[in-house]
Amino acid sequence: MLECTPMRITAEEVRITARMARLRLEEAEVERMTLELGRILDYVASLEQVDTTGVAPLDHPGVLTCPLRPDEVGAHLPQREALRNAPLVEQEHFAVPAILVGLSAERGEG
Amino acid sequence: MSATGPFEAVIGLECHVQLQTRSKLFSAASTRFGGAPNSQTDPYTLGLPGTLPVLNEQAVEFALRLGLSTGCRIRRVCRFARKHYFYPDLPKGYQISQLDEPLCEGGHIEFFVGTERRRVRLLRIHLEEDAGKSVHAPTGTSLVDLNRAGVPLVEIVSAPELSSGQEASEYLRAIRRLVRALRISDGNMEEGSLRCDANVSVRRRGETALGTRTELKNINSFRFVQRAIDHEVARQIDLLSRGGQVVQETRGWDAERGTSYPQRGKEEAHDYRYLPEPDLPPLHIDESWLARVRATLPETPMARYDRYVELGLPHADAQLLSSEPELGEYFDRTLSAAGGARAARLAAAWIGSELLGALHRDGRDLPSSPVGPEALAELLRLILDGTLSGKLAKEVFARCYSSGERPAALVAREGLSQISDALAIEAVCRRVIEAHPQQAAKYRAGASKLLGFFIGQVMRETGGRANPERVRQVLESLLGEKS
Amino acid sequence: MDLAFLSAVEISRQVRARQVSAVEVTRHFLDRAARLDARLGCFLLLDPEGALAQAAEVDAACARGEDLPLCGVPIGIKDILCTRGLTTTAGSRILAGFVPPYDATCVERLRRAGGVVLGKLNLDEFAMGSSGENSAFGPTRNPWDPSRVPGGSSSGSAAAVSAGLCALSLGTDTGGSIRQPAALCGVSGLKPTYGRVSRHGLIAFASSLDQAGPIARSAEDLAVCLGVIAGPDPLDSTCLPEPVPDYLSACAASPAGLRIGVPRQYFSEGLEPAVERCVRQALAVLCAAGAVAVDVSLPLTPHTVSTYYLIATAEASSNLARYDGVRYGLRAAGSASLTEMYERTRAAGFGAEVRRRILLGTYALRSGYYDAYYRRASQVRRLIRDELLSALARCDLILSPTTPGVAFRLGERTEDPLAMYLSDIYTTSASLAGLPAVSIPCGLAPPADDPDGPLLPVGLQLIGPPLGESVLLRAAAAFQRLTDWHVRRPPAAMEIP
Repeated sequence: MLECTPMRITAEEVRITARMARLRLEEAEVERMTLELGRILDYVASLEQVDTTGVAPLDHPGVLTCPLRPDEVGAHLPQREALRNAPLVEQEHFAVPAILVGLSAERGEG
Repeated sequence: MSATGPFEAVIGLECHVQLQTRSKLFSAASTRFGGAPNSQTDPYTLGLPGTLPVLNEQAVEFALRLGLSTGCRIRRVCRFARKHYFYPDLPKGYQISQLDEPLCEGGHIEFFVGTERRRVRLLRIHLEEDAGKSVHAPTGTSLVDLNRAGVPLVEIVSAPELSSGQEASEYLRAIRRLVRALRISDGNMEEGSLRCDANVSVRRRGETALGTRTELKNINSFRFVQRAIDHEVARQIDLLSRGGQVVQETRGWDAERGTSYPQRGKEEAHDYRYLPEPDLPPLHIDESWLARVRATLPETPMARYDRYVELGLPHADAQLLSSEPELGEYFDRTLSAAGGARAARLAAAWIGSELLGALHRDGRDLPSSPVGPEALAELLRLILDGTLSGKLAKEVFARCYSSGERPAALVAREGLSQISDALAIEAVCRRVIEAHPQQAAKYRAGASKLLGFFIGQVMRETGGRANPERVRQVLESLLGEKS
Repeated sequence: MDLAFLSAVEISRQVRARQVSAVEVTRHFLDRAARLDARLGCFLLLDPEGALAQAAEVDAACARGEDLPLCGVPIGIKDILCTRGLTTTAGSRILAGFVPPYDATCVERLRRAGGVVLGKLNLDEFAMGSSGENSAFGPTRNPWDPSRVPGGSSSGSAAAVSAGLCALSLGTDTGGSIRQPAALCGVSGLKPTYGRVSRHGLIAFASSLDQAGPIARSAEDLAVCLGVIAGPDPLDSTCLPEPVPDYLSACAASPAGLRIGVPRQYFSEGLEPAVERCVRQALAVLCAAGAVAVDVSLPLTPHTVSTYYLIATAEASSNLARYDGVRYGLRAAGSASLTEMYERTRAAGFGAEVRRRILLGTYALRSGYYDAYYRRASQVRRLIRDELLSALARCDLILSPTTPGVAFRLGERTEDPLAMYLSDIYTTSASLAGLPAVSIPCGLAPPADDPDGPLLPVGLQLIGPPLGESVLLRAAAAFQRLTDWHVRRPPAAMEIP
């Protein structure tokens, strides 16, 4: 059955998606994921049969109005608590491998 | 505009303004600037699992002030969306922002380029949360401080209607003046509470399609905005003139070397994978809230400018006094204490020269001025009613500025008031003419320049207290009499 | 006296009456868990010190005459709900060793009501799974047959109540994660209306679907627990402001006059005949007590699983972006660059099912695919909700099986994710619509592939209108007064004293 259905997703698309999600996939896993995601995407393609013309997406099944909070300062985590679960701390900061120049453009603010 | 030759630049700005709320946009952590690293956080700020955003009412109200004062359409229902990218100072891996249905749309910002009034349309103003800060350590690691993470921002997106670095810089200054006047931000570029990205493209004059644009990031002073944009416009024109093509990319501005550098190309362009924010239902802005905000909206700098021009102030004075809310308020208070519109030009001139000059010299700010608006108004009244000459007034001002004494009291105590009594002035004038017969004769023979000599003598006799205009009139008539 | 299988209501009554102390009850359950759980894998963490300290406080409160609704009731918490000072992992290596500085709102409310938190319960990693096999810390086994799965993702929560290791537990339900394991383990589980219980402190899988709820041995216990944890919370903007009714008194009402909707699409292909028989008998029991069956139609049923998986994975890909090895949790060692650190940390920290769902969800949100997948699913979601609401306009609640079959064997479906997803067919629609739903035991049946095999629990699902928890509890409690399925215990093998 798999053979007769055109694959919905290519291995390259899986690789791009994995990079986007910051997930390192071994080549064998890329293959398996391509197959599995392909089958799932085939299955969910049935949604194309539903007529959704003019239907507003449902994003919030419950509360319809955003509640508001008064602008008051509440409890803080002491610095020690804030850093407590961190894998690496240097000079009261969360430490990470060097951010390369140029990568800084990846921040949004766009 | 000949600098760009057959080309014209098309520039749009995206400004981020930190709102000066006490707590963060979605949690109760403090927004205080300058605390120890990672000391202004709570579980939400850290992106701890299980934490949820709760919207700060004051931040919305500040954004509404901005939207209303720039003539935006305010959405009665707006929505939040998640914008995804991985960066160590973005704790949740996404920023809560607004995409399809922002709080404010349309509107405009007005500002002056020289004396020419410009109006640039806005595309939108929306609310979002700030990221933390990362600094590079010499040890080969980067260090992340999340104190700033979650501070409320408004993003103001202009239409691509600016045409030069100077215009962009004036536009940005107008935003700074505006957010300060609205008391929603300190607009401080050095501390990062006002930040700016520029989208720059060029095209041949007459063309309507936009050229390929580049995005300039990290331009964080008014001066750099102008220089970075002009540099980028020149770079693009140079490329095109030599038959090259502009590559769509993000460029950073290196302020030290005065040049820009590519940060990432189109092939790596980010897909932010926006998702309607499931943790925040749609935000409803009801009419009564809008009415309340509208009713308490502070005057905008441009409205203030217009009011001052109507009072008869010259452009430069009106612009100066509308540039900072404290300055305008000082002026308004001075004016109302000095008896209104007739004092306007005089008040503007005095604030602009004597007062600001003295404050600047001493490195003081307006609120700590030893001469308050009521005191200055007193001085102006003494000038207007002829009690003090301009020269005397400056002396009185200087003494009041250093002692804090009120002008009227000082003048009364030291008998500094100007002599306007016609008989008294005439007596002195007669004495001076009699004492200088030769000069009087020369004057009468046609050396009319000598009138100044006589005025000087009279002023000396009166210790500068005689009304110089009166003196002139009396001398002219006395010297004319005997011819 | 066999404390292990007393109801929460009864334990609370006895502790309040000082017939037994909270400390004694707590010791009893801690001992039981220490003895029996090695075979079952329900608990990821037992907290004897904390539990006994809390029990002592409860006893002190009782001595002061305080009237606590869950007085001394031993409770297990699904390890996706944050507990202050107690390691909380969401069943994932990526959160190994994470100690939250705060309690989830529902946990805090349980504590204040006199509940004693024994420890943290196993689950499918980040609540992604229907079998309990996706926990990074080993699978949970079904007390009725340890070679079979307990269902998921609240695997430990259902199995622990079923085996008498706690009287009550908290689970979370995103697409059936309370109801399905409750069904497979022969206990009662309630997924409240979306927003009825605060999500503050619930580690998000799919934010627009996640709800915490109780798993217990009776509808009455569900009612008491829900009454404690439900209600507005300023820390959750999606939490409903409506006041909380008295659910326990709803349990006392007669089922007479209840209109029970029976969706014909739920009784069709794929439903094991033995399961269908149990569910139809349950319907007959309720009708004999005065309820009325109403035929309803839910034509979008074939699309619910697709819709659910697109929305849930898209939200999951977003919610799981925060696990980056910077501020807490696992970080892969020895990465030269930041990107390498992210990619290796997330590859090492997330299990295969979580990675699969992150990929699917990331893909569904990518520009160019968003409209075809995520947006379309959100539109169909509205249609599904509208369809359920109009069915519920014709009846008071909807009755169906909770799952198409009984508990399957460990390893049976792990190689076929899609087959696993399809077992969520009856539970996902209430999740998508944000409706309350309960699963209660309604019979025992052999597995379809082994007619001579062990008799295993069958679950009956009832779906109610928004905030219709009371009507669900009314029907469930009535059913439990008329039958004894809910007091059946797992085979004697589990009863080693």
